Amino acid sequence: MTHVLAIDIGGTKLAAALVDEEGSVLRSATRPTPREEVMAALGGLIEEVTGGGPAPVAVGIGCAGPLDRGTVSPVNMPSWRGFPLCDEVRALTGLPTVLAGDAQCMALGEHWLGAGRGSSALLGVVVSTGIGGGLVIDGRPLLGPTGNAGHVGHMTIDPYGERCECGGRGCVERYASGPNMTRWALENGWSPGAEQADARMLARDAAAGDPVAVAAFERGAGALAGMIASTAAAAEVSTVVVGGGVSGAGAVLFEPLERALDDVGGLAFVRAVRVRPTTLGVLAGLAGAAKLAWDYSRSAG
Amino acid sequence: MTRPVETVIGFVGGRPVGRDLLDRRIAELRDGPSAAALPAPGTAEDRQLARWLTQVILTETLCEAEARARGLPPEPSESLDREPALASEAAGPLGRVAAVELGSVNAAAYAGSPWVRAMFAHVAATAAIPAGWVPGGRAGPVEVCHLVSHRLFPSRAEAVRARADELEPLGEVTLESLPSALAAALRSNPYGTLTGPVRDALGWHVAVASAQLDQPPERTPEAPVGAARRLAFARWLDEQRAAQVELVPGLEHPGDPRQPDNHHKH
Repeated sequence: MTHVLAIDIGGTKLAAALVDEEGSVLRSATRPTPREEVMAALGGLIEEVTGGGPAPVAVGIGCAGPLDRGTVSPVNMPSWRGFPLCDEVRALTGLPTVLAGDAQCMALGEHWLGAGRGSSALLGVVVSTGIGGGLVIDGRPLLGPTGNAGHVGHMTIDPYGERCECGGRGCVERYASGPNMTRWALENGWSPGAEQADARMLARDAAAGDPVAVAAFERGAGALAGMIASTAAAAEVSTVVVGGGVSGAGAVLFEPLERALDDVGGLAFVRAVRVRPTTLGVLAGLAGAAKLAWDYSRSAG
Repeated sequence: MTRPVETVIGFVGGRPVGRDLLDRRIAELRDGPSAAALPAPGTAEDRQLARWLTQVILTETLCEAEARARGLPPEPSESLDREPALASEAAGPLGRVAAVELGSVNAAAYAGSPWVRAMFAHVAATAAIPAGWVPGGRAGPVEVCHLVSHRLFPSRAEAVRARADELEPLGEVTLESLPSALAAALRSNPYGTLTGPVRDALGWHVAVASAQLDQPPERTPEAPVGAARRLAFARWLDEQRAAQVELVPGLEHPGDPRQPDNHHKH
């Protein structure tokens, strides 16, 4: 049985796995992401996973963006700016190598093996410190000319809204990411009872009925709903899978999201969109990287 | 003496409220700084504006009658700046959250009428905090972090032989961030239990959630007093309006689905 090497590069953790055509993981390993010498750590991880095992036929990589034609500049990895990750891994392994954004891989993984199976048009959304996304249309990831398609966190849902750190205005991320919901709640009188407030505390208080915490999630869910309805209108997305740390808030996010979607959605095909929580969790990106490698291997071979 | 219906915008406690109040309020708006944002005269939106202003005026009238009947003095507008229930939650005297909680009609009436503010102070003084607002008083998901070790195996036979020391530490994670089948299995076991094999599309998972870390600190039992007071006042107003206010055709509540200009859907 043949395998591909899947690699998921995040700000806190590197993960790699040998994955067969059905999605089953033969071997896997993780290690913390170092601040410097990330490539050396990645090389060691690849050796650990592939050493003594069956030789993989291709490599798929998911990495935090932004990307630009095979290079990466992850916001939380300052030593990589315009880093030619795809070429470096190709040189290291001698294998056909393909790269996509981490959220694009999450979407692809959920489509292949998770909550988005069978969807002909899927949007995967990662709601966490930031908001990322990826589209899988007719079973294929929509990556875009430079690899940045699906950046739904920076879709404008309010042209008169707040200025976003990206330079745009009224971006979804400004309303619905964990730190931004927390910031808004604090500005509007939420008292978390701790010095370092975060989205988990906000979710806890929203679940307990704190009106400002509830309002923060309602506001964030409204922004997500605007983005989802717009994406559905543009690409006839039928399924949306939501993952990331903030999605763990559960009902305090998903219930207002359903209500807001019911309000903003108009056309029948937009109203038909179904939102589901992730089923693969943190492993969705690794699964997507494997699928990316399989698709690349078949198209190249 | 009974006024002709077209000169009346509604009745409060059986007493007619004159159209002149509404006309003056509309004229003030059209001569004011927000004139450009108002709907064009004669449109459905213009009629909705008149309906909304009518609700505000009737609420003000109702509160004036109630406050006078109780011998309450009007609350001057300066108290807006001092009113902690309304001033604390956003910039400006009537914060966004406070306004949303009160509802737009109630918030406008509060901001515009000393009698409404007087009744707010009176009603809100005895407001109780709903039991469901007290932390722990309502069931809900509470995310906590665990130290989780985990490993995936390609076959059940290998997975059942796994030992805890063979698993890879994932660090401090929430169960919600794990594959859902594995998270469900971990939740059903006591901490420290070697859990699995749990199968999903990726293979056979084995994991152990060995400790609970960084639980969000229990919220200090700080009562959401302002929100509770606004809720109590809004409910009191709803009850009083239901009992005392009679609307007239053409000036129904703007959200009334039976009136022809309500296109708002839910």
